[in-house]
Amino acid sequence: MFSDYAVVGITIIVSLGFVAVAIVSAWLVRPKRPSKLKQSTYECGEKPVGSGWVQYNVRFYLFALAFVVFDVEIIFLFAWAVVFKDLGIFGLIEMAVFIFILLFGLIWAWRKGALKWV
Amino acid sequence: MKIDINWALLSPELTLIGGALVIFIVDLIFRRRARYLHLPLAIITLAVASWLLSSLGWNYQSTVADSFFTDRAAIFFKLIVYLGTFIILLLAEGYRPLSRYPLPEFTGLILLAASAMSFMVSSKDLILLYVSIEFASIVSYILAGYMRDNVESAEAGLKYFLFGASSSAVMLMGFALLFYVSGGVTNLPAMGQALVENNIHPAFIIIAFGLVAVGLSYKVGAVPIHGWVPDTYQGAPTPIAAFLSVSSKVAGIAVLLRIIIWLLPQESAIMGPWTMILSFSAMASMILGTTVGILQMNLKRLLAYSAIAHIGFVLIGIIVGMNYVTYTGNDFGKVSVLIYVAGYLFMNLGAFAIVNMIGNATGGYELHHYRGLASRKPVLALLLAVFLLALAGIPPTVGFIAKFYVLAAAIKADFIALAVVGILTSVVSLFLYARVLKVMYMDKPPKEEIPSKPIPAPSWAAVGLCLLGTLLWGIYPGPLIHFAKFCVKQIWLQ
Repeated sequence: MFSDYAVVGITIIVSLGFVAVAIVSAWLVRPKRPSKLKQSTYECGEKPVGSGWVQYNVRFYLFALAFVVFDVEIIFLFAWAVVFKDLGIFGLIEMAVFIFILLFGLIWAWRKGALKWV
Repeated sequence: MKIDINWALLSPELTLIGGALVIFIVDLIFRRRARYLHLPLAIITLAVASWLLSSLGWNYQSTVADSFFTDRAAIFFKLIVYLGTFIILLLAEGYRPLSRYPLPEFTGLILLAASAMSFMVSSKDLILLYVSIEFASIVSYILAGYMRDNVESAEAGLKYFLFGASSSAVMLMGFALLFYVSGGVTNLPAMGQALVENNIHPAFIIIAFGLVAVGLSYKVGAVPIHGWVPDTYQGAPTPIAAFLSVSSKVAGIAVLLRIIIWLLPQESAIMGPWTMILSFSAMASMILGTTVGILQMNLKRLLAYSAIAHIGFVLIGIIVGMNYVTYTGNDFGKVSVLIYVAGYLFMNLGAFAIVNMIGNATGGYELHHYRGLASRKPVLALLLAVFLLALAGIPPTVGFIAKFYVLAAAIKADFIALAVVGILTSVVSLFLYARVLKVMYMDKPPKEEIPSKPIPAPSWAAVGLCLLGTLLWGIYPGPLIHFAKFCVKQIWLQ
């Protein structure tokens, strides 16, 4: 049963080899004429300003958390919608409970001031 | 598609989740006044859950496509978890540093954690097992880091989380491997059968079990994944340290016991290697817990190392239980595990409760805060002495009964090396605890007077309960032993 995975191994080796061949052949063939403009971060003329390590406001983190919760909810809803007819009324109640818990979480976060931008 | 669900079996867990939601809602509606409502609500929830649990009946039942079960041993472990949760709720009420933080959420989270541990004890399916372990872990991370402005608490939460996340990833890898080699079933007893019947090379099973062992070793805090224990116990709020040291570990032990019963049938080829791995873990836990514990200057760290040593003892019981099985009932190994867990609940929670009280009164957990405590707070010093001697295994406490049963089981089953290490570390651990007694009773108290704050009634209730359990079952252990035997008798039914 492990031979089934040989295909995966061959795919990995072939794809790595393809990348290596492409990079090496391009390196051999291409002309090299570096200039100041060419070596800047954005070749299109945009000037990079300041450090790349910018601190983001920690509040984005809270919004990201709330977003992830509802993102996951959507994933569950899709799966539920596919088998909605099979599950019937039981599935409907289950989903209602699930959505209620998430909704309650949102209300809780709202009342606790997590959604306020200070 | 029709899913049969026997809601009665799930009712204790659902009650706990419902109770937590009610506490959150009450907190939103009543705001400040919720301070006085959350504790009674939580206690009512726990009482209802325990009542529903005890009305399930002792026989084996399972539901939700055979993924959730209940039997005598499961009920035993769940009762221990609920009792531990109850005592911890009382303790949290008397823990001063916590009062600056929102308490209703804290109580609600503890109920959610209890429900997750309850699911762990009852899961018969790999997926439910993993999800419930994660559920319990995630709630525990939040609880350990609950005092978020406090650097130590934040550190405790973060360390617990980092250890938990990595060991849980490793365990998931092991689950995946087990799922693969058993041919794609997730029901644990069916997997165990498939592992024997499919004639799989033992190396695969050993690797898979090794990976799963990493996750469980983290959950119960045994060597090799014990590194988080001292730091987390020291930094976390004291009631949560107690919660992690008892309820969480009891659930982990229950899972370990079930995995061994279901996935390792007697005829399994890897019984030998697996016994070796567990024996190493047990011996290393006992030796490391006692020897490193001696060096600790902080009472919470000391109790953390003592918890590691005690897990070593429980592992002896599990090793005996998996190797020497009589299907008739005199299953000493497993009986000793149940007795040990029940005794450990009372003595360890008692010790934590007193350390919590002394911490409130003297403002610290370092050993020098205990200097001459016997002359200033004679009752607290005496109670701490009782619980510490119980942890050391001195009669007439339940600690003695527990250690006696584990060691007797090991000797009966010819695990002489394990028994010898157990007895020797027991002797050394006496020194570990006696060091605290010496500081309390023989050192001179410091000059400056410490402010004496009143100790809230719930804390006294918690200590009283622990003292009752420690002494009553130490002097008259008959009912406990009978109950443990009664619970183990049906552990084989699937």
